[in-house]
Amino acid sequence: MSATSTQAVRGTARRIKANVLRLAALIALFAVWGYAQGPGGASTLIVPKIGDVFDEFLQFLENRAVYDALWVTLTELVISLVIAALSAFVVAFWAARTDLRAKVIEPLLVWGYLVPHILFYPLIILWLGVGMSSKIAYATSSAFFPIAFNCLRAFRGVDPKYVSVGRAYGASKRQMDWQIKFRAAVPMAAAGLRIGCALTLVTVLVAEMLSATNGLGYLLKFYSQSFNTARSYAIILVILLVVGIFHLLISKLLPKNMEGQA
Amino acid sequence: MALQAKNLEVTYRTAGGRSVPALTDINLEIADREFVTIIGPSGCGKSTLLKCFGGLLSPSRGEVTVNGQPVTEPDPNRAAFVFQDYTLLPWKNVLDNAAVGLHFAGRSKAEGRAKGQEMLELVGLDEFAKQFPRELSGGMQQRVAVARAMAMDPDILLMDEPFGALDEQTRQKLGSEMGRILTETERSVVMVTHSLDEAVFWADRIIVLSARPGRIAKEIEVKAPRPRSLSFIGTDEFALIRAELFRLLEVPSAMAEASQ
Repeated sequence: MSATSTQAVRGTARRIKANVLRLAALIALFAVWGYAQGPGGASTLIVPKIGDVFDEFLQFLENRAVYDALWVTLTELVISLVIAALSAFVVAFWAARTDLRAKVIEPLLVWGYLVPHILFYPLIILWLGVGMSSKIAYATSSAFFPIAFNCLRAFRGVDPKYVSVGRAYGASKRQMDWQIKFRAAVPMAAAGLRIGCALTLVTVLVAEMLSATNGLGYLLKFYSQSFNTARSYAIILVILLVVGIFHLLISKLLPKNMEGQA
Repeated sequence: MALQAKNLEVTYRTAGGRSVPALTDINLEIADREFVTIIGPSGCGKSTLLKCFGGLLSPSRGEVTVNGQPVTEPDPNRAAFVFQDYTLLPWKNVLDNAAVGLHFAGRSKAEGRAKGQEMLELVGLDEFAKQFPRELSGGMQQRVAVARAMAMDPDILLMDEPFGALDEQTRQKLGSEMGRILTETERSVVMVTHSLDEAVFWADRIIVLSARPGRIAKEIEVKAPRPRSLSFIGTDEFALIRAELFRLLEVPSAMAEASQ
């Protein structure tokens, strides 16, 4: 017991140290920014005044357009992620059932993963217009493939020792599918979902910048094209907050890695 | 008699399409409450034989019966496995792992929990019921695996090198503890091992398999009553049998001679 508490104390000390260093890095970043802006004489087009950025950010809080854009982007994110994850899961589960299906589907998923989906974005715009649906279609198609590929690999690659335990302890076919194979596949499938989340964020924002009528990416493009650097930085700050919260939610919701027995 | 194997033969088909005999001509009877250890050179088919006993593998020829019933598929009430690498399910806590067989059999949660808790007490881990396997040491995980097997009230316990992955000290401690538990529960046990000491220490009878294709080279009875204390290791009987096993396993000609 005392060994564990010593370890806990050491762990806490290390965590505090790491957090202090992180804070120091952040302060250093702002110091460089402040220097570049003041004595460094950098153009406000490149680095705006820190105070200006925060002013812009505070103004956003009362700006209806920003809330609208935020809502549009969040809707696109959530809808495309849900569609991509569900369809990827169903396809992977179906494909994992037989060797033949897996052999046929797996390379298709790899190709789908490797193809730069942005090539098709102009066509998607043509088909679906510049509204939200084109963003959702583009983000869904990008996120689908890594999620499906990881899920397929996860369902196919279940450690045979767990299957042996299931057989030896009398699991029915249904129990084997859901309580052994599916459960054992969760960590790897969750890894796929994390990649899918990251891709959805990037694709939605890029799509909004390329051509859209609303959304945070659209605002960023609009502000930077009108040379409003401070406001651009502020909107980037908003986007970073969204990204941070999104990833925090994902890491909280997805099950922790259960592999690796002592 | 608990288990009987008649003219058992297992052949594997290689990727090239050749069939390779793994086990041949196995005839064996295991009595109620008997503790049998199986030892042999690596690759002789020890684990394969155990899988046939438990129905995890169908023999190419011959048959296995338990209490007269032919074994065609695994049935944990008939023969429960303890695997070498424990293979507890990492997403279930210790109690649910111990009760997993009852859960698969469709028993109620309460019944599974009660039985699981009882078995964890038996192996001295009742305090760890809510923890997860990764939080336990290897020796503790293996005790949970034993509890999982015992929860099924099996006629026979099939143990595949259950202490193989543990360090020497844990092995000895766990070994003498398990010896007590397994003797008290009065079950037939078949244990595969590659350790000479283990083979002698545990067994009422030692089955020595020859190298591939595995066949029974020799059966040796160990007369000392069980459960045995660790002092049994210092006796003449232990030393003599151990020496004979050593000769059989280390000197190929002795094995060939014994097989005749």
